[in-house]
Amino acid sequence: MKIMKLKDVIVYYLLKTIKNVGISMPLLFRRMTDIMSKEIHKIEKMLQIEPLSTTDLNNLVHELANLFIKEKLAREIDVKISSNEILIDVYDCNYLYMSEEEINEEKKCPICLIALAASIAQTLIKDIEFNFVEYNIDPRNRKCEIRVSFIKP
Amino acid sequence: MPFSSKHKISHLRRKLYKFISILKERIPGLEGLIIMRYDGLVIAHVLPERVDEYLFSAIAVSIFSVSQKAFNELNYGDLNYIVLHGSKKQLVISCAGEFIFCFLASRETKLHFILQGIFEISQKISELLKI
Repeated sequence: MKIMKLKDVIVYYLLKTIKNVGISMPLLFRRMTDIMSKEIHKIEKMLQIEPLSTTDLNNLVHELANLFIKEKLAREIDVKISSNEILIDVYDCNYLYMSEEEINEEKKCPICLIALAASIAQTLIKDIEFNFVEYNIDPRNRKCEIRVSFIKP
Repeated sequence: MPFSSKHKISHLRRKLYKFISILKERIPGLEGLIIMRYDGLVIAHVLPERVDEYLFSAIAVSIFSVSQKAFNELNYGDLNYIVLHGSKKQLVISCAGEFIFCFLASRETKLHFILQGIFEISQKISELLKI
């Protein structure tokens, strides 16, 4: 088992406890998306980054992907946007070990930070709404395929 | 199968908005109604002004999910509905499939009217999902 950082262990058990008392991760994910998108300017200040392009989904998702690369959370992130979903291939995510069976019996990450960023992007863009997220983890190639679906009214 | 991946949310929304607006007018004392998915996605609502539907949806789903967890832990079977009876108002939360709905009503509203409403919404949702 990879040695984890204390803050990651604490976040992992925080999420596990929330789930344990009956709050689902998709519900938490959606609520977090809403709160974070409303406080995006505060987050920009906290991270000391340039204002994000909140009018163009393609630019915004790429900006967020670059932010993850810059923060060394993943080695490479490929993004494709279609009419109702964002397809993201993530290589060498720093948190991939969270999906290992000896850490997480469900063999998937408790919350995917990259999917969260994509859903925040969808929430920030007017006229679309985050729908759901699906993951496919390929541990051999250290790759995650993330599908973040959105709704157009 | 992920949440509603095969269901047309926009179609559901259009049909349910109309349906719940009629229901709200029909049930005496009903002050609001919201339908959401288990992950908190708001499908349709007729909530009073100044209520944040996204926050309220998350709260209602949490109440229902936590109560369901309590039932599971106690082996009490399925949870059908929850009534929160306050000094001024009442909330009734129920579910159908992957959807949860919450009725906001005056304290005097008769529970059987709300339960009838729950039954009608469940029927309507299953009818819409079959199409």
